[in-house]
Amino acid sequence: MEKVIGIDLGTTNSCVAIMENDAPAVIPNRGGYKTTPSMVAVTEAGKRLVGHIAKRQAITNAENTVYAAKRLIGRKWTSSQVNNAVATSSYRIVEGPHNDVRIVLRERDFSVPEISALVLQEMKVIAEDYLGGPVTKAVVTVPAYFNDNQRQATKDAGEIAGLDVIRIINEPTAAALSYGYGRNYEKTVAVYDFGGGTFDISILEIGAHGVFKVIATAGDTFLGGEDIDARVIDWLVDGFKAEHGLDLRQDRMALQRLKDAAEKAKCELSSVRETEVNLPFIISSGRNEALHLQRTLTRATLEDLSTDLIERTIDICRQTLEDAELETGDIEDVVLVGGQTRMPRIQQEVAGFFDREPSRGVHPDEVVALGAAIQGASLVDDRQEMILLDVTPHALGIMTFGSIFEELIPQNTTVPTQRQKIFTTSRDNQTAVKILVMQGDSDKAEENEVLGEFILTGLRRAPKGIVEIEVTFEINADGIVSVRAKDLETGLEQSIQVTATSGLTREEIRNMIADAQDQMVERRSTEEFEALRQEAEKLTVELERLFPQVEPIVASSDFGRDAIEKARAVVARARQAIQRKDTVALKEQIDGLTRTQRMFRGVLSKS
Amino acid sequence: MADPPQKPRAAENARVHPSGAAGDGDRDGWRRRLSLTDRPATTSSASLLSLANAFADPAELKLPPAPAPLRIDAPDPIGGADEANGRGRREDRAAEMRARLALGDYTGALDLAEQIVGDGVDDPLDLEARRCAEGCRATLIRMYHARIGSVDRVPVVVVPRERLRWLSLDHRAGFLLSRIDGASTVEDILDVSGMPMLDALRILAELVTKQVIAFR
Repeated sequence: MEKVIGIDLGTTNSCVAIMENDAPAVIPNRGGYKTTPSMVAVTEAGKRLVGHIAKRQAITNAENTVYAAKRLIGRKWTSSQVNNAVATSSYRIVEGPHNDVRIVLRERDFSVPEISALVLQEMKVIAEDYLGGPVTKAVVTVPAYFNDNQRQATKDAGEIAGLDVIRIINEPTAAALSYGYGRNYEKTVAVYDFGGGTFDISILEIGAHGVFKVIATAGDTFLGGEDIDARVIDWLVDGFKAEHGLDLRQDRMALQRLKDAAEKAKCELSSVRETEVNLPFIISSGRNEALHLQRTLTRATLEDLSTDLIERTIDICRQTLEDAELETGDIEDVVLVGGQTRMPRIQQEVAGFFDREPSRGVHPDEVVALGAAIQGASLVDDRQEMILLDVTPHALGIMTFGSIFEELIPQNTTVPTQRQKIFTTSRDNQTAVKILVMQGDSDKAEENEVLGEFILTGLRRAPKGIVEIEVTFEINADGIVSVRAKDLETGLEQSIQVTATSGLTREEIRNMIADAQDQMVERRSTEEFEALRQEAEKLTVELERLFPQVEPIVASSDFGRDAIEKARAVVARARQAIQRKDTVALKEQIDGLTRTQRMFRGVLSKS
Repeated sequence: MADPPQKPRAAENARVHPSGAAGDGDRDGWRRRLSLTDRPATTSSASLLSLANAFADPAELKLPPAPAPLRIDAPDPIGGADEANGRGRREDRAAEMRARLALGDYTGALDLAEQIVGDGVDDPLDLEARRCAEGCRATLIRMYHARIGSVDRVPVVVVPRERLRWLSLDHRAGFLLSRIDGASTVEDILDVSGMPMLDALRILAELVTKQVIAFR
């Protein structure tokens, strides 16, 4: 049975998991870490960096390092979130050809799905290295508030990365799925997700027969653990300035080290009460010497620095419950998601607000990916019951008179589905109506996303409210939305089919897939050469060590001298192949080196 | 594998300014300190030249038969005094660049070549300086690589953390040290350094020489 990986494609970190022996497990990356930074960079030499290595140079190469691409995926150039990102991002964001967003790295434009594809490809490689074979199917998680375009863009990113994204599921749903896996719960839970770059609170109903309903979701896409890191950096910078009169912010290398140290100190303070930040040679004093930074950060100071940020998350929780007309007493359990929730103060605040201790049964960094893996396995394994039903992430409807959003298909409706409603004209002698198809959960039309529009003409002239128009929304099993408007009197009809778009054309996606495949072939071939080089070097080092021992034993015969000469020639050819980076030749020489090694060992064992 | 040749170190360290001072193109004090502390006190120009010849690739570095003498130009009858002075300064620099190249002082020659190129004047000196800079960079990179070995090796800091601050290092070396985590290869560190490759290689090579880092 084909393996399906579950990927939590996060704003700051990503995680990949798989079902093994009926239990979900996270796959660590090559560095042994279970999460990988969702960062992509291009170096001066044009090399693409993804993950930890990109993060380690994020400040020194800020213009060419993309972080938090998820905030931009599937968004239109004209959206307020994109405007915000243009103003605050260190990398250059420009308008794409289809009112979409492009990111410029070293003079090359990348679409946002392309950037996310690099992260997804990294997760795919991690899984393939672990499983020892190709992986092509994945379930990817997205925030519950993502609209269809954002979901489609995430799917496109998967396709570019060489993955067939068989399902997109909501992050809080995945977390709840993992939390409830094998437990057969029926309860209302809050998922408090404080990640590196975003905060989300979701209230879910875990029902019987695999129905997970997101009752309410809210958050702040610009509030995360990195804001707490920034407070620590400020504290360190201010202290250093008071002591030495130098502003470390002016030096990118110093700032990069501060960022790394601040995050490390913050993480350490989740388990200890104080930690030392020690950064030798942090900056030049200008008098031909370097200065050192050394300060002790206590948990209490960290909590002081982050109090208002934590309070903001609690305010959002309060507002979300109010909007959903729920009391804290209605919440039967709280699931913590995101690395930041390891901070003891956050756990205390959450426990205080919900008046209950959060669940300890899930790992905050892994729970979302684990849920995706569980869902992935259920989709391909007939033995497992279907766990999640496909539901509409947001309500669908049309704009009516006064810019009011009239909902036809409510949020969380199971698909396929069909709903109808009858509308009337709003003006006397109105002969045409414009049907503006929208998606969103606000009563105000302007706050929702426009999916498409069409005009129904030829209506009978009559006073307002007389002519009746039936509007039908239909979502088929593939998630394609069709909208039909029909004049009930004349039978005249107009319709539109709405398909989500990431902002990329099919041709663009095809080209991006080809480019990603080329890059992958190059990467794999470099990795293959590297493995061969290491093997060859190990063998040559051993042969060099054995030559002085073997030579005196065999030198008395012509055959022996000839063998030694041939052995030296094999070593020389292997070195040449390494120098030329010739994988094929190196493979051949490794065979020769192995034979020579065997022969040398044989000679020595008989002597 | 054979040990990297030791000769290039002496050649590279031979930054002898004609006046005895460190070069004016030295953008960071660190490099100057290394040059001064590591330069063999008794190194003669003749031995430096032979070392230089041993490492310079004739195809890349064309050494003039002898350092060009300094010239004092007559005032330019068409241009003003400033223009003449400017050209004079460029020619002085070019002469010094050639002299340093001849001495095997690739770092010094590169500094001067970059200054000449930086003037933005399109003349034969500019072309010569560009070629010189290119050749010096290639030679220096080879020299540093010889000291560091394969870029696939993983460096580790061998000086205990508490003793690090007593070393004579600058903030750039401090930054590179902070990137060494026992898992990243030299290539990774070059990628994340945010510095020109030549600078990063030079600092790593010096950290190897000073036995601050070693390889797994």
